[in-house]
Amino acid sequence: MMTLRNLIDHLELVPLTKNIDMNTSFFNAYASDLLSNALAVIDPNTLWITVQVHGNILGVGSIKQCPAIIISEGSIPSQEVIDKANEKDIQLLASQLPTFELSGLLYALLKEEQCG
Amino acid sequence: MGNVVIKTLKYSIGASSYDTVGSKAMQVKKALRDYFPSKDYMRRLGVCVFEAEANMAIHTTSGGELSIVIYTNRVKVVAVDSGPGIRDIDKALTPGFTTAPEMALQLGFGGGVGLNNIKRFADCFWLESTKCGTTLIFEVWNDDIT
Ligand SMILES: Nc1ncnc2c1ncn2[C@@H]1O[C@H](COP(=O)(O)OP(=O)(O)OP(=O)(O)O)[C@@H](O)[C@H]1O
Ligand SMILES: [Mg+2]
Repeated sequence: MMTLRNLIDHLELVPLTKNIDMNTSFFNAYASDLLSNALAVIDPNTLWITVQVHGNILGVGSIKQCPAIIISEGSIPSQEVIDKANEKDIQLLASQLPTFELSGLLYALLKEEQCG
Repeated sequence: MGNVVIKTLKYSIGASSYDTVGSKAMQVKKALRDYFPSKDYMRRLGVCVFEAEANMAIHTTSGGELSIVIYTNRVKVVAVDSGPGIRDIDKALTPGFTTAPEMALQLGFGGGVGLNNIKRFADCFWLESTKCGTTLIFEVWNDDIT
C-alpha cells in the first residue's frame, strides 16, 4: 500500500484539485491515453496516468472509482475540468515528467514498498 | 421476482457529442444507487454504459437512443441508432479495429476495444446491424440479488 502523501513527496507531483486526501491509498497504477483501456483496467486501488486533460477523463475516473488521476508531460486541464473534478470528488495531480519516466519512477517506488 | 421492472430511464445521445460521453453513465450510477449498493456491480455497469454512449456519439450519423431498464436483480441496456451501421460485425469485435475519426482519436477514443469491454463486463451481449442502423443490447446481472 502506498499513499498519495508518499507519492507527492517522492515524485514532486502538483495537486490540481482542492480535494486531495493525502491518506488515499493504492497499490497499483496504469498508464494509457486510451479511455477504453483505462476503463478496462483502473479500479479503486489503481491510479491512472494519462496526458488526456478533457472532461471525459472524469467520467472514466468516477465510473471506476479511481483513487487519483495523474496528468503527465506537463499537460494542464482547463479550470472548468478542474472545477468539475472537485465537484465529482476526483483527485487530479500533475507531473512535468513524460509518462515513461513517471511510470518508471512510480513502478520502482511500488516495488520497493512491496519488497521492503 | 427478478423480472419485475423497477424503473426505465431513457436518454438521447447526439452525434459527435464527444464532450458529454460518460454523463449518462454517471446519471445511471446516481439513479441506481438506492437499488444496487454493490460498488463492484456499479463499476461493471458503468463501463458498459460509457462504451455504449461513446459509440453512439462517435460512430453514428444522427445519434441514438439509450434505454436503461432496471429490474430487481439486473439492468438491461438497449442502444439503438439509425446508421450508418456496422459493415462487418466480426471485424468490429476484433480488439484494435476502429473507424473513429481523427477528432475522436485525439481525445483518446478509438482504441477499438469498447465493444470488447462491454462483452467482458456484461452478462449477455447482443449486437445486430444493417445500413439502417445498429441495435446493441446487453444485461449486467447483480448476482448478490436473485
Ligand atoms: N453504433 C455504431 N454504429 C456504427 N459503427 C459502430 C457502432 N458501434 C461500433 N461501431 C464500429 O465498430 C468499431 C469498434 O467499436 P469499439 O467500441 O469496439 O471500438 P472504438 O469505438 O472504435 O474504440 P474505443 O471504444 O476503444 O474507444 C468502431 O470503430 C466502429 O467502426
Ligand atoms: Mg467504442
